[in-house]
Amino acid sequence: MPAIEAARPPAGAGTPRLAWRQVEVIERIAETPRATTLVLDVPGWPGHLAGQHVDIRLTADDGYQAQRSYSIASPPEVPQLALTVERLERGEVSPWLVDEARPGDRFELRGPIGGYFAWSVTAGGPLLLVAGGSGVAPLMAMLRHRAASGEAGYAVSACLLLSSRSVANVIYREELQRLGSAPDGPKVVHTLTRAQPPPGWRGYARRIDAPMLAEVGFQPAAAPKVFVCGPTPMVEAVAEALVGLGHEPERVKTERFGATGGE
Amino acid sequence: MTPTRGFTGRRGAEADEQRVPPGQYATDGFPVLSAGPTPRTPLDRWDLALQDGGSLLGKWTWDEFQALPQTELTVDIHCVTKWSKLGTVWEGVTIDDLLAAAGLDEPPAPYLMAHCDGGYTTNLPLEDLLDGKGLVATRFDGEPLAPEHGGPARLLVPHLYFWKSAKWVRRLRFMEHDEPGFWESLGYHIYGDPWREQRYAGD
Amino acid sequence: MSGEQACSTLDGNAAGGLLREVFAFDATEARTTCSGCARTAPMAELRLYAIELGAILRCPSCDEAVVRIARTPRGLWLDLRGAATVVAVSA
Repeated sequence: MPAIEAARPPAGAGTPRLAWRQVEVIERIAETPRATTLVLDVPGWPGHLAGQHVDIRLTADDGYQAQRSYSIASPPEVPQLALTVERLERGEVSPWLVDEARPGDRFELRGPIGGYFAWSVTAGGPLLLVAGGSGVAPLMAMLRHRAASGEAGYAVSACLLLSSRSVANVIYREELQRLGSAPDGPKVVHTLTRAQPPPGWRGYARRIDAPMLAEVGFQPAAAPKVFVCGPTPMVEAVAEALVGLGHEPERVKTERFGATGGE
Repeated sequence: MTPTRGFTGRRGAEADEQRVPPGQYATDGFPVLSAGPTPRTPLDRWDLALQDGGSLLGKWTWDEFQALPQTELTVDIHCVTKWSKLGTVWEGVTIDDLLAAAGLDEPPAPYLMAHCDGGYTTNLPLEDLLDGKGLVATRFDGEPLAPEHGGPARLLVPHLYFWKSAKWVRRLRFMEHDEPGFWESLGYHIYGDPWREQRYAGD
Repeated sequence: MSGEQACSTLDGNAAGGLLREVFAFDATEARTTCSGCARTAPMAELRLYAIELGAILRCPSCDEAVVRIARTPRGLWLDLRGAATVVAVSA
């Protein structure tokens, strides 16, 4: 990951009001059959923290607009923003982003947004990340930031437990494999929820539950900072299980991904 | 704002222009928009009440409600978020028949507030509910009304924006003066006529 | 995810942009106390409804509307009566 410059962390109180800015797609990466990463040129981007998100807004020819939120998948160390989007079955915006958007396309974006679901190496660890499907995007920003932070990054133990429908739907599979096998890399554990695991599979093959979290994650006594992101039922089950295992509720941060009812 | 190449949104259902109010788009879908979680009131605990001040003017259990005259309506509906759905088929009890069942020759007051499971409220003039203009609907498209769309019963007032067609309605409370309900007290129009584009207070 | 949900599929995180229009600080971390049941939670953990019209943020314990925001062309309407207190976290 090229290190350009350290981003300034966003201000706390007295943050200037968010403004919409026009951004341009510079690259599209097909991650899985359902998910695409768009790499964006964002002139004047003020920097962000891993875990934060942006609002984007698309405008049709007749002025009709639709707005949605997406997590930033790229770390603060990289000036181009990356958004990883999963196509929702009856979505209005995600199909355009996943299937249509191409280099040169422009839309509006504002951010960074969100101080609650954000992490930097200066906050310390250990770091326990639990993701369901495309909920891995903001957590990937955290792992990429950790990897780009040299010694300060390695000093924080990290673990990612990622739940996916099937192997073909594991987002960032190769990169996670690389990160996980690097010295001082994060521990990466997979579980599949819908498909039969392939021969030689060394991960789990069921929904995330308390025994899995107890086996995989840091013990409550280590006081890890926990971030959970994914579909609502998964997030709620995982948060409840973690608190049941003894993790302090204040240290378990949750972000629910999902459709609006209008999708 | 420069349009986004290739983005059209979910619109594009074929529709007779005359039936689509200004600023609206016709849709084939039926989006769900809720201000709170979907209540799941079992039919054996459901009832509908008509209230005036401290007096209960009428109360019906589900079975009693089903025994009232049922009316089928085919209407166009218009949501303030700009989608319109044409030719929707509903079945239920008209407000006229409800008042008659309560023994009321005329409404005791000019306005009412609809109170719903989950706490949602909306206000309406009786003038906009009588003469077949308003229904307490229990069936949509030939099927029992799904919880996400307001089941067991919702108000249906199709000539006004759809936030007035209150989901999960349980009580109709008469009022001497118009008072704002849930959205009306948060900047939405007190009346809500889609043909005059009365979306927000001051429109 | 299906468009017909029994529960909210989003939380206060997704209202972050709108909250930044209302407050001068990042409100997702602000701690609210529910006026219905006294449950304390960061705004990010409140259940989010009606994002198409603004934001209705409800208590995770009792479903009381803690924060109500409506976006209109003439401005934002804010109702915080469902919050007994809102404490902004200092940086």
